[in-house]
Amino acid sequence: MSRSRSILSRNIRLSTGLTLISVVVALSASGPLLEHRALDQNLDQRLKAPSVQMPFGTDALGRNILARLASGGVNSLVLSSLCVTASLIIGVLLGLTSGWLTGSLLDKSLLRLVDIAMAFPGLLLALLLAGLLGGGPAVVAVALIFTGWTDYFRLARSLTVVGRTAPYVEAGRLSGFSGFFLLRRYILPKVLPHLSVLATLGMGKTILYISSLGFLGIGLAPPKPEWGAMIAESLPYMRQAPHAIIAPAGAIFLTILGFYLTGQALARNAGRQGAA
Amino acid sequence: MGRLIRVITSRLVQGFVVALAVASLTFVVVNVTPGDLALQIAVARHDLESVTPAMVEQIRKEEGLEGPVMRRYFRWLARTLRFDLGCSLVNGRPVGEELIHRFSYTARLAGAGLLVSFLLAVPLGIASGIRPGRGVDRFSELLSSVLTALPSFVIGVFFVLVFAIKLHWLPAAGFTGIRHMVLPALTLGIGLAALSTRIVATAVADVRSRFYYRFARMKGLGGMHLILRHGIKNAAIPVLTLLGIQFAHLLDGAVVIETLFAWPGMGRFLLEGILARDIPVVQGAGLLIGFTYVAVNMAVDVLCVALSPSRNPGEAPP
Repeated sequence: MSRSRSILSRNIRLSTGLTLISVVVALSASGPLLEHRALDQNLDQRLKAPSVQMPFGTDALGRNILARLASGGVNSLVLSSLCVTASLIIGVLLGLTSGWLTGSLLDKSLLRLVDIAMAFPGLLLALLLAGLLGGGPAVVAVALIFTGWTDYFRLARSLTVVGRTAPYVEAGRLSGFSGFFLLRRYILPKVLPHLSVLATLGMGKTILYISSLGFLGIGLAPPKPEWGAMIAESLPYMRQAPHAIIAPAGAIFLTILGFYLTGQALARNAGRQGAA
Repeated sequence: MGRLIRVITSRLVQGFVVALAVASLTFVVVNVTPGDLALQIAVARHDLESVTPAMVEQIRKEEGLEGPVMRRYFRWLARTLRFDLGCSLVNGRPVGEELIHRFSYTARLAGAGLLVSFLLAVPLGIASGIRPGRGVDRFSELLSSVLTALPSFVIGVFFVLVFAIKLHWLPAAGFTGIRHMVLPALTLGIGLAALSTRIVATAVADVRSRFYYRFARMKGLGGMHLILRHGIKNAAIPVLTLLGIQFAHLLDGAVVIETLFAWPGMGRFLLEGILARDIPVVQGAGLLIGFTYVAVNMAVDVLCVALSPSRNPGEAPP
């Protein structure tokens, strides 16, 4: 009874999560088409409430909020996918190597580097790096990758440390297979299901960081739309036009929620496979 | 004892590395980005019209900003490690004094936020952990899923819209009275509670399934005594460990929340420094935040070692 119920709730999580992600991706896919409208100012149409022509109304410069949401969505999604992919590749490659060579100088120095990256809260580290190095997408990406790779590294390393002493890996080593082959054939498949969980959750976290940086005025440069920056820009007008804040806030919330729910559903799946 | 010393040394090393990293980063920024720090200091001390090239050279000499790069770098490091933070480039005031002032505001906000999160997370977490999979547990799981997906500035903006603008119950920004602290503390506390409720629930559920807990129940213990004596005490270790992670969320949240509510804390000080490229301020605030973070993690480590029933092999049981 409780088991079937937990499967049901997992499926609800997964389907809700995937639906939310699809909606956001679909909205963002129309972003490039709406690019010029996202930047067009129309001062006669300032802070207009939502209507049929403008489903989410207009902001303080009379720009179409729906178009800005779509265009900002592309930026956030592309940037965060890039950051997550890069962090994942760096983290996994270093983690597998480090775990395979446990106790070596390389392993020890990498662990020290992780210590440094984790000696500072994530958002603050990204803020410090991105802010001091001057903002812009490339700098934000570097800052987010620097804060992001440690999770993947620690996961890959710990699974490798456990996996390398397994009897079948030992047998493979005695048969003369190379370390690279053994890692790819036996260790990596054990890491992958956990990685997909971490990467999905990581997408949510990265989008959260990007929007927080945008809100703080660091990140993608205006007038390019960014969800967090859209909220910050509309704060002075929150009395007259709360919709200009609610729309991007809702977009941020639903996107992150979509990734988190999907990640949680995948995590339970990975946990069940691991237990079986 | 051995474990305790190892834990403390590793955190002390981490603290030193933080100082080194902050100092190096600011040094790189000063030297790579355009602009003359000596000129900026001169302008901050006097004003733009009265600064002469001779004064700039004088300051360059006094502040150790001349000579080859490596020598300047080591001088910069030495100054940082002596906590000689200098003066703000914007208003010329000593960074150290301002930091103490700002720190007290952040500490107040953090204390109130932790209190809110404690009041929410502990009862809800225990109620969920005692009966895993039941109504309360499922409700708190859903609630924390939703809340973790909300960045703190979204929660904060929502509170301002509802309680300050629609209902006029509370002020939206400022820092003069206790009323000003309600919304920022709620925003911070709810974000923290989203995480800690689940941690408490998992820890309680874990203890509940352990043998000593079942044994205590078999002895006939029940109710509050069982939960307090055998449950909470053992559930405290994972909760404490995650307090370190909580603290990272707290500091991250502080920057955003202080900016939103115009609260004059350390996080906002750091952001102001970054936006104004006020290097001494960035350095001072960065160092203080890093040290606080490392110190809290050290305290958590020490507490965990002290609470943990397992001892080092070869050590006599107490």
